[in-house]
Amino acid sequence: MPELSECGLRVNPFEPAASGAPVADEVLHVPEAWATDVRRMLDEMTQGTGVKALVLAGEYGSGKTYLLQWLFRTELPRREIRPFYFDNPGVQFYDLANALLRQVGRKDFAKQLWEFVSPDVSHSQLRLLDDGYEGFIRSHRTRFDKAEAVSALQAAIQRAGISDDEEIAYRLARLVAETPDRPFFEYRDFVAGRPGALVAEGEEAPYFGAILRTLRLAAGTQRVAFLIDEFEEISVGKGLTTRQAHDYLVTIKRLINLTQHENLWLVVAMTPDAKTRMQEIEPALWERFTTQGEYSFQIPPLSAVDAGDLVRNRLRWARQQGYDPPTEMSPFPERLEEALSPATLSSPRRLVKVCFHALSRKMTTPLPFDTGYLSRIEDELYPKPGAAEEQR
Amino acid sequence: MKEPTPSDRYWMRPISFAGLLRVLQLVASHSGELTPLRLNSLIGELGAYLTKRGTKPSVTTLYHCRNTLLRLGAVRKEAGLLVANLDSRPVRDLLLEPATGQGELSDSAREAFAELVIGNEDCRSCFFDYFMSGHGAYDVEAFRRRGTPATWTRECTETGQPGVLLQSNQGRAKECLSREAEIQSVLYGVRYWARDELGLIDEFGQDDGSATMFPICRASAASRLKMLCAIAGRAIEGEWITLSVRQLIGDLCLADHYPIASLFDALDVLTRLYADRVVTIPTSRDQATQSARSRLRENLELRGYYRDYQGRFVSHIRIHRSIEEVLECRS
Repeated sequence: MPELSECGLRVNPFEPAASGAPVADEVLHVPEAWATDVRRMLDEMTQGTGVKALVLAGEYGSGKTYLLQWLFRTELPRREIRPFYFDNPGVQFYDLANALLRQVGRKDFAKQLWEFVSPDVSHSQLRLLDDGYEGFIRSHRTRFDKAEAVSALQAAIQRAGISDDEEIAYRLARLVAETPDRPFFEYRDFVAGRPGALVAEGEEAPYFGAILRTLRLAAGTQRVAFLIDEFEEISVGKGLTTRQAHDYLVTIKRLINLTQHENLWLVVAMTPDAKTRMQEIEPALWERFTTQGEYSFQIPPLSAVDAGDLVRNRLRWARQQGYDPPTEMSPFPERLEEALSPATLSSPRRLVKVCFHALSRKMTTPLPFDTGYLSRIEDELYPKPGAAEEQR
Repeated sequence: MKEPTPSDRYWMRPISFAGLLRVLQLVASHSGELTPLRLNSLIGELGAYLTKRGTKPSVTTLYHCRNTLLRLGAVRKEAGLLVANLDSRPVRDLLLEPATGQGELSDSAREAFAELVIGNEDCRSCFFDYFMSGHGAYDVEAFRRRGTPATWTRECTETGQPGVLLQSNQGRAKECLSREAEIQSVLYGVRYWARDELGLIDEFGQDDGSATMFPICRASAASRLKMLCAIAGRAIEGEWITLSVRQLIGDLCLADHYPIASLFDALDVLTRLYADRVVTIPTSRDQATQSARSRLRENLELRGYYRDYQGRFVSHIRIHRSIEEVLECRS
């Protein structure tokens, strides 16, 4: 194996599994054409007043997760939009709520909410607010006092405009008051209808709205985005009863409504089949999701130029300081298309895997890598099933 | 068991035509000697008809076997005894078929049975006429070549009972099957015969819960080659083109009466021999069967997906523009 240092590299900048985005932000690079199209759609959504939802459709390994991570780490924060990333959150609403609030953290959320509504707590309680959130909780330890605190908070949450629904306000108040005893969320907290659940049955979408309003008003975040990967796993009704599947689609539709009222942005990634099925099975949902198909980005196959840029960008990041490479693509050939098949060149996952193995294989090979070496690696990783027949 | 009345059109039931052939040959070899009861015994003794699970058939199944032969005119009753109808050419052809084990029917046996089935008035009026709207008399060949698609959908009748709507995609012919016997006979009887036993139609599920059926010609090497060229010849503006398997079924199979298996054979060739420039885009089985609420419906919906060599359900394929040059070189 050629040592990485012989190639002028500190590390192997490619991932072995090539599943998802790289750890380092500096190599989180998307092709310019993709970025231009997605940015245009985001700009239009920012200026518009309608639903703020964007669909990214692409085959497995095409770069959906990569694009979501680029949005999550770079593009959305640049637009002052606070993103939350959900990786295959499951098929039920409570998976989404559970994932969201676990990312926020219960203590932080409770404290933010308390800080925001405490000016609206009635004057009779005011003396108890002097020591802040912790002081307030300390002074309401008994069951009676806790019930009193919940009642005061419930009223304050309604007055502060977080929610005008009594039950939702009550459950949020409980969330705040019970945090010292249980400073973390449990899955069952979000299963609507269960005893002790924080979510009122049938009120998932308004509950989400209240959470978003809290994040927006209390944390000073104007806009919030949900980035949902493998969205087809949510939209598939498998394992749900017909009623549950229907309820869940209704919740998704109401979630879309929230994008207008609560400045929520939705970005969902799905496969081409999921996109086609949703268009056919739920055309109305699709139309709303994508604003009559305007905000749907079909991830194209990588071009030879994009593939070269991907590799070049990674190598540049991993170069040893002071090392002057013979070419920017070194140790790879300048023209990857002469070494690798169109199928590999067009797929980010396949390309990254081949490059990883090219740099990490324990075999002697001269530098720079010749086309034969790269072809052999490609054939090993992605054997052609008809190779024997072709020989005949 | 009481014999059906002539007015009862809905006598068709799911049976094995390979087993039916053996029973017919049994009747012919004992022509004029067998009562229905004696035939049942003989079938049991010789194992002439076995269920899919390899077990002896029930009395009801044997009745339906016998009834099918009688209704198709392959067998007659003379003074209570069963006689093979040697006046029928398809029957004579069937009797020339070699005795088979439990395996599949030969193509010639299948065609002979197809003639009997399509020649049967009940089968035509209940089912095959929906594919031949506007046509008068037709035979098997005409059905295969000139038939047009038909659709069935599960619906509720006006009285709220579950039913099946069967309709021609071309003409206005349609019928709502509401009685259990009608649904059994058409959906699970003659439709299964036409699709699984005799190779007269192919079928795939739609996302709205319906299913599209269409007449097919016999698969051949020529049809596979034609499919390959049709796929590769698609206009590719950029470097790649992504094709939906469902769309290909509609454009190539439905339109030209090719079995879906022919398309999948062609895709096998493309993905195996040209794996460097053809990419399959799989989907999960759950996604592919998301609107199915039963195992039967799942199987129907999966018919619209290509199964690649890795066993994955493929919804789309992506083809590089160089494929057309490569195929031209090879041909």
